[in-house]
Amino acid sequence: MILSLRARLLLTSLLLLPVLLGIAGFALESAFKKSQRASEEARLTSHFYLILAAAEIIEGNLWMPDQLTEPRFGQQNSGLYGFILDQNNQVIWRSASSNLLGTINSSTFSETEITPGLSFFSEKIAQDEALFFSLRDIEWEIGDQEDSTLPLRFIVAHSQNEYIAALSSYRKQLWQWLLFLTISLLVAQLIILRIGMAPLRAITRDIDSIKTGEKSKLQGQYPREIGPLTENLNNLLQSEQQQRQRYSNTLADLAHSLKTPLAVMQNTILDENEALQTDSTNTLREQLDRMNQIVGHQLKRATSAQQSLSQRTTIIAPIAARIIDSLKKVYRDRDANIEMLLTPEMGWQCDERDIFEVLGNVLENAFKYGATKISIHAEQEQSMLTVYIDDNGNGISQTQQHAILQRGARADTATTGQGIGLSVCVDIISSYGGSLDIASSPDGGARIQIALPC
Amino acid sequence: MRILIVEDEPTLQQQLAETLRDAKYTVDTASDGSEGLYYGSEYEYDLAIIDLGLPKLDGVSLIKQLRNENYNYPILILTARDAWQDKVEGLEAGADDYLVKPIHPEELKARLNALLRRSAGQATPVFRFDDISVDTSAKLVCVNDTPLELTSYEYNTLEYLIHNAGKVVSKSELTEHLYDQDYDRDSNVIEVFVGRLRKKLDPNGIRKPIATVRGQGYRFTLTQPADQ
Repeated sequence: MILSLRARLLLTSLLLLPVLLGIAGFALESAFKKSQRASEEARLTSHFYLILAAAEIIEGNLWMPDQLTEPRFGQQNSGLYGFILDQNNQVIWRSASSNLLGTINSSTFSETEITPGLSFFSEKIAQDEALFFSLRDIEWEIGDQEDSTLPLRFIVAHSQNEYIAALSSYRKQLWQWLLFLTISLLVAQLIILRIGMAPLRAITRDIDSIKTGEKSKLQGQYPREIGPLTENLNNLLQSEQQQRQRYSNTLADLAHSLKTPLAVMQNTILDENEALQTDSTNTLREQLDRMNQIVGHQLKRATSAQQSLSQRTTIIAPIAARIIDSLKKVYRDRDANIEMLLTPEMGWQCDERDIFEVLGNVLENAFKYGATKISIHAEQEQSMLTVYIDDNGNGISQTQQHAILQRGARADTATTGQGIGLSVCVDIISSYGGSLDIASSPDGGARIQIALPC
Repeated sequence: MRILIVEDEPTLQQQLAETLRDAKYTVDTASDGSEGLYYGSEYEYDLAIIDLGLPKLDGVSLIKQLRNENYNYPILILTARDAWQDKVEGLEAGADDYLVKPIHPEELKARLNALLRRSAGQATPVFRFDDISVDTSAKLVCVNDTPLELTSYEYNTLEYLIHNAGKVVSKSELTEHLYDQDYDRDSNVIEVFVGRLRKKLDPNGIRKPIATVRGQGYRFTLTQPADQ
């Protein structure tokens, strides 16, 4: 299946947009995480300095005040905890807030020995609570003696709850905006497509009106990019029209220049014939008749076979009415009863002259061969309109039916009268992809049914 | 019966004219539309045969103009086989019948006869007046079922009179319908034809089928039975 340009562009966008926006989403999220962790680390560092500032060594032992300037160290489960460990990895101080955290020992945060200068930021789950912590090992000098130092490990931990909440809120916001962005981009693309494709739609419309015969070429202003296309199309149309015109003119000239001499020859023979009826004049006359028929038949075929691009629908009822009025005038002694049940919108995609030819021949036959009642009705099935012409005349014999319906039957083998008219009709109709059938009418005569695209 | 042929192809025109003259018609010919219009409106015709493809003024326009100027004689159009639209346009313009080329003389004569009969309001080709019968298709006149020997002019005079039975026909009207435009007219000749006709139709002078209306012309006096 070949997708439309619009569908191609939309489908590509639908596939690519989520991938690209997804990558953008992940990048933004990880940047946010990084910045959150960085600020968390900075906060923990400042808390560390706070604790360090509050700590004092009195007689070789650590002394901490009951209250720190940061009140959260004093509140139970505040989420901010401080610990100080000695060189034996024993907790020698813990903030009041950490009372409910349970046992905290050296291995809770790190199993390494105190290494003065060590400092890192990490995370840990302790007692079902996710924590960020900052660990710093220091060496506290006691007194003046250089070798008398007290190694201490300071750990400041902060619950991740706030961070998780901030992250999830950020995430929610982020994806909502990305979704909104995706939809907005798709809508924007639809609008862009609509505006961008407008000239192509205009061309399609113009070509349609060329098909229906309203226009003969692409008119109007087109963008620079498709200018060469429309120009070439117009040139093509024009040269096709000219060629068709030339062809049709040549055929008409040929028809005229052949028909008249033939008619003259024929009449000469007929004139002579009355006085001098011999076998040779009879043969000559027959052969001239055939030549005349062949010329007429083949020219008709040639002109009706070269259909143009235009497929204008021609309404049938007015043409049928004009033919019937004309035939009524010619056969006014007949007093024929004609019933026409065609609605005003019924039409065939067929040249007007060809409809005249087809209906004219069929209706003329009905009148000529003794019909006093003719009824015309039509049935539409999908894209074909079948017109039924019933009469109460003499009907058409099986042999004649066979001869007429042989597609492309050569004119020189066709019988005179009814045969030629109808086989010309068959040729015209089949050149439009339609069909002509002969049956018996409910009124006792012939039924001609003609199906053509509508 | 005087017929106008408007056909631009000289040979065809000549052949048509010959065929019709042989069939005892009086024939004028025109070779283009404007010449046709001139003849058609200048002379009195009983019928015109007009080809649709004419130079100067096309057949359809010619027919329209003649009809507009109230010339109501029957018009037969000549067309090509594959020109139904032209046929319809010709008939709509005012023609009465069409004939498809090539033309067969017998068919042409039959059509002309039917058209002339129709314009005279006659349903069948045979007129019957008591013991006189005139078969306009066979151009045969019988008295008591015995065929009469008539010349073309005698027959044409009689046919014109019976087509206008009951009406007074002037000598000049008869001349118009009997002779083509090149003929040197002499109204005394009409008197001669009528005299001969009277003798042949009514040798004993009982019926007096052709009456002389003094100062005006002639009148065919017999009427057809009601069922005609």
